[in-house]
Amino acid sequence: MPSSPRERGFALVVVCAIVAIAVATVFTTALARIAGGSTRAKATDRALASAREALIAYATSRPIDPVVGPGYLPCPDLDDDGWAESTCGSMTGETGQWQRLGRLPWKTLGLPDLRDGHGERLWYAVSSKHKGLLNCTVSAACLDMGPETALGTITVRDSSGTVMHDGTLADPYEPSAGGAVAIVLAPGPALERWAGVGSAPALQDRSCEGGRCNASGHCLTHPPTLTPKCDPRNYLDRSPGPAYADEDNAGFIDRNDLPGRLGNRDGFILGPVAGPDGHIWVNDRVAVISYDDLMPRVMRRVADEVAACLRAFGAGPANRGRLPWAAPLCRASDPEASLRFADAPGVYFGRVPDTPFAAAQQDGGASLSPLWVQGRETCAIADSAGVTAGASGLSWWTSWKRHVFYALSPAFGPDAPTLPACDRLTCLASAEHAEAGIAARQSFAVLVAGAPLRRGAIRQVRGSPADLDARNWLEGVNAGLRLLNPNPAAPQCPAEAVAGAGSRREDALRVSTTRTFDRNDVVVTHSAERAR
Amino acid sequence: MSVASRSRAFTLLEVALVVFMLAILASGLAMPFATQMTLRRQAETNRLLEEAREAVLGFALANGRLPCPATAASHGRESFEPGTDEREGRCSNFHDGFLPGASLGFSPLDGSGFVRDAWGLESNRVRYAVFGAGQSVAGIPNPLTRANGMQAATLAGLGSAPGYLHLCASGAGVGPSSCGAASNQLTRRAAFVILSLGPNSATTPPPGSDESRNVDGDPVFVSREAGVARDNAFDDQLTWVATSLLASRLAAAGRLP
Repeated sequence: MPSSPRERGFALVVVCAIVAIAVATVFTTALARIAGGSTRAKATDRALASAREALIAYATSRPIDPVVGPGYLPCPDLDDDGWAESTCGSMTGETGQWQRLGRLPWKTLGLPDLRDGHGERLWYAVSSKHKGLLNCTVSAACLDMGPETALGTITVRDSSGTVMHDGTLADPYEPSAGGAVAIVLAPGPALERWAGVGSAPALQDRSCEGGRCNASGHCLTHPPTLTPKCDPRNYLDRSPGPAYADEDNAGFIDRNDLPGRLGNRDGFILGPVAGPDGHIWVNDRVAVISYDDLMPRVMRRVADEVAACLRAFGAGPANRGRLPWAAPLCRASDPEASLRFADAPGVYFGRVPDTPFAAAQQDGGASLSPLWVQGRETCAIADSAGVTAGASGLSWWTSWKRHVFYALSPAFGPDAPTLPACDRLTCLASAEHAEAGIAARQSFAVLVAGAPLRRGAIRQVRGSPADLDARNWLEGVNAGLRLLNPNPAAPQCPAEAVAGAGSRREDALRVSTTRTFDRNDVVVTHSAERAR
Repeated sequence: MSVASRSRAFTLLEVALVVFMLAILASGLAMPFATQMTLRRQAETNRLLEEAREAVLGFALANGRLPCPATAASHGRESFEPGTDEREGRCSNFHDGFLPGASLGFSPLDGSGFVRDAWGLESNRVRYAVFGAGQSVAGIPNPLTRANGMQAATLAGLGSAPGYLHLCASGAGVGPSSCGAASNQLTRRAAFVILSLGPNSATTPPPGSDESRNVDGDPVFVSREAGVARDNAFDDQLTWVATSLLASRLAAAGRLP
């Protein structure tokens, strides 16, 4: 039998080939899965970062008008059509809690159709304080989005259940430890959702059958959460029990009235959360937008808007580059209400004055305008007639103007000669670039004070009578700008006892634009060269 | 001998069977391999588009304006109308040009200075469209591509402009300057669009198809999921940036207002 050993040998080759192919298949699939896992994670991170940036851009870059200011975020999209819903609960957040958790309104934000690494659209929760409301214009409290009041309300825990952002906190001294302003979640693949001890976990159902969706995949039920595809419980996960704060990402509580805030313990937990046995119960990836992410940008926007008003004022042909006097702080709680934000002669540093700029016109002659530049879109802190916004009716500026300060260079005062000229005794200079010479000279600075600080040697207090002292608002050299003013700054004020009396005037002309651990002012300056 | 002949026949059958099995196994490997390659190329293109998006935004931060698209003859450099430059911001092709890889300092580039998507043919050069084409915002023509045009148009002006580039969910009912029905609109506020034509880049899309909307030179683009429907196959990949996001980046960098 010469053929029989050949046959056996051939079978061996065949077996070897089959085994080799099988091993190769298993190996490549495993490799693809590992490589796929990290690409998925990267895609998820990229989508979350884009969403975060777009939300911050929405809050800070939207057009504003004399009534509604910056700082609002859109409501979530509940029916998966990509557009934000027009409402998501009452002003305090008492009602409509479920409407503040939905999908990211990507069309409203001008984003492409963002997906996480598993092909799912992102989810989004917004604070009851920061949600944009159509009827905000009728309520002064709703229009107040200042640094002390626009505090986040959403509690966020890390994957061990420890609180990172505490939504129950309403302390303007600790805005960054307080609640988050918004949350973006990448839901990841469907998993068996924790249903409590003793209950069987159920697999998340993301279907949209039985006529509950239209051809474009929009949920048609009322409310949309009745459709599995638009029910957050089918996307967002629940942590396994009290050891992980019993946190359920498919629901949260966030009210912004003081009694309601105590219930804000229920928030979000950052995935992945693994149980004691290593089983992953929460696979949601979470990006947080905190107070610190948003508020400095909103303050910057306010500073930019005020600077635009001042620039436009100086550019007025009759004003010839001159700027109005500031409103001295010491009259901020004067019994005569009309004096509180009125300008006063010779005051180079104070709050942004209300119209009419009577003192400026007295010193500058009839050619100097007593009003802001007229016409829409030139100045967002004034109405179209050039009168300070909020003089009659409601305006965002009414609550913000306590926070906004203004310093003008003596060379650009209402009493300045025709063409203002700058030298080191007559123009503001940036403290960081003091040696840069004429290029560093500024015609004015707008300083927006942040939340009060209690850091290092600084103990800021707000409210009357503390409001009268610039050091309770601004820090470092920025508070020193008050030394530019006559003492007392206005006839109604007591003289201030100045410790550093005799300090050089050019030191008082310094303004600092950098934010540090113990300085949270946002400052915008205007170059003197460009002002001329 | 009868045993030997039987066994010889058996071997033949065995070989046939084994070859058949190997073929099936190999095709089982090859099928997912082809889809894997397609998915990989799509993912790679997606990443490339995102990198391109960041490069364009970086150009805007450095120059205070968006670059003009490159033309087929501009060697990957942005191209203005003859006799003009960034002071006017008049691009030679606002809506049907290419990503100006050379002007952006992008890498890798092909031999002519263009960026190609993962399919790598010459027709796979990444395309780029920017708002302008003579339209004005707050009285400033071509505000996004003109030097300091966005500053001149002001944040408020940019925010209240009625529309920029339009992105639509489908090509049905799309006009030369809008998406038609409001429900068809993804956004009308895109400052720029970056576009890959995908695997079928070399073929001209049939007239009226969704893909044809992306190469017809108007400010309206279609972005939808890939599909192989006859006469309306779609494999383009797009990304875009809203004007609000561009303004926010510029403001954060001190370029605005």
